[in-house]
Amino acid sequence: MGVVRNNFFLHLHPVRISATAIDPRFTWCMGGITFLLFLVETVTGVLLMFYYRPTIECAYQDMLKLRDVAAFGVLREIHRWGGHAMVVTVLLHMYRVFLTGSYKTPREFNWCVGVVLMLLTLLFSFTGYLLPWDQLSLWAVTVGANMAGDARAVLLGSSSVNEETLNRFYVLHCVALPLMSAVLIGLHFWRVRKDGISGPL
Amino acid sequence: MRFGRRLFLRGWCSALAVGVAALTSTTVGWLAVVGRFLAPSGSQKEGRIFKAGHPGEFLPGKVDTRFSQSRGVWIVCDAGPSGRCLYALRVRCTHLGCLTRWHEGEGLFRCPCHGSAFTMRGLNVAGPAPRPLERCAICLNEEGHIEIDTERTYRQERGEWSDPASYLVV
Repeated sequence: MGVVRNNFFLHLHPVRISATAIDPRFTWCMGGITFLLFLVETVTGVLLMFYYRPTIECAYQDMLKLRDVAAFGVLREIHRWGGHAMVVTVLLHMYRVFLTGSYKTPREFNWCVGVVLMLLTLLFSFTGYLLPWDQLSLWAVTVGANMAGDARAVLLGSSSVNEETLNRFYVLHCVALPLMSAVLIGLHFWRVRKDGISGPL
Repeated sequence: MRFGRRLFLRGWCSALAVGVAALTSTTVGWLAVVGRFLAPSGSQKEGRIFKAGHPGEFLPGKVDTRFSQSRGVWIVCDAGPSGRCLYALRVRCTHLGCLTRWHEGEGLFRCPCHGSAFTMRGLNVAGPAPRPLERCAICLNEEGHIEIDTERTYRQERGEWSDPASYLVV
């Protein structure tokens, strides 16, 4: 019984919620779908790392190899489209929370955690966009980095998008951002459990 | 019909069975996908046979090191009593697979990892190597070029070095 009582995963969900609060028409299930997509991205991302080498000689070739040679190279497409979908579901989740006023007391802290999670999602999207190392990603990141102004050189690791940038974005995308997200997702869920799901309007 | 205890149990058991079956097949299917995804995609076989030039290019009593980096073979030209004899020795040490080096002065192949040594003919004379270096298949093609197949190997300790495909008399 101790396994059940002390199990972290069995304690994630709030103990008591009102029947109306779990109505899909109220939550749109967007937070849950976002988390599901995060898991899908993690699993497919780990598998892609077995193929992908973040150097300017290999990156594009490895991406083509995933498309043309590897069995189930569709995992890369799943990862890409899953990433795009995750940005959409995060924004819809926040839109719902905003419309239902769920960001108000006592949930302001969790709203702030959510805002950071949204920024992390957008950074995932931005860093992941460079990794195929094609023309689209190169110029998209060039443009995006120019918006960062003086932080540009720190972001890119050099004066323009090149090998250092690819390495930085790879480490951010595969190590730093996932770790930060995992910690904040845990915090986010814990607050949902403590604060409860807000009732309907 | 009354929804009795038996019917309830039967329904519950079949629902459970369906659930377990679905979970199992999903897991097995996913493991199969991951296995196929991570399996090497092949097409490494091409290029195992290569041309090493004409027999006249090899000097008696010398070891040719030109193909050690690219193909992983030493070509030894052995001046025996019955004339010159060519064979291709694999660079891989028979101990744990490090790449041996040819030391011209000593007349030995030495392995830098654990100090195994092999004579010019490939016989192990020192260190932990348990058996001689392996020979690769060698032959002359119609145009008189030497052809070496790096995938077909011959081992001395199995008596395979008497196989005519393992050496080339010139």
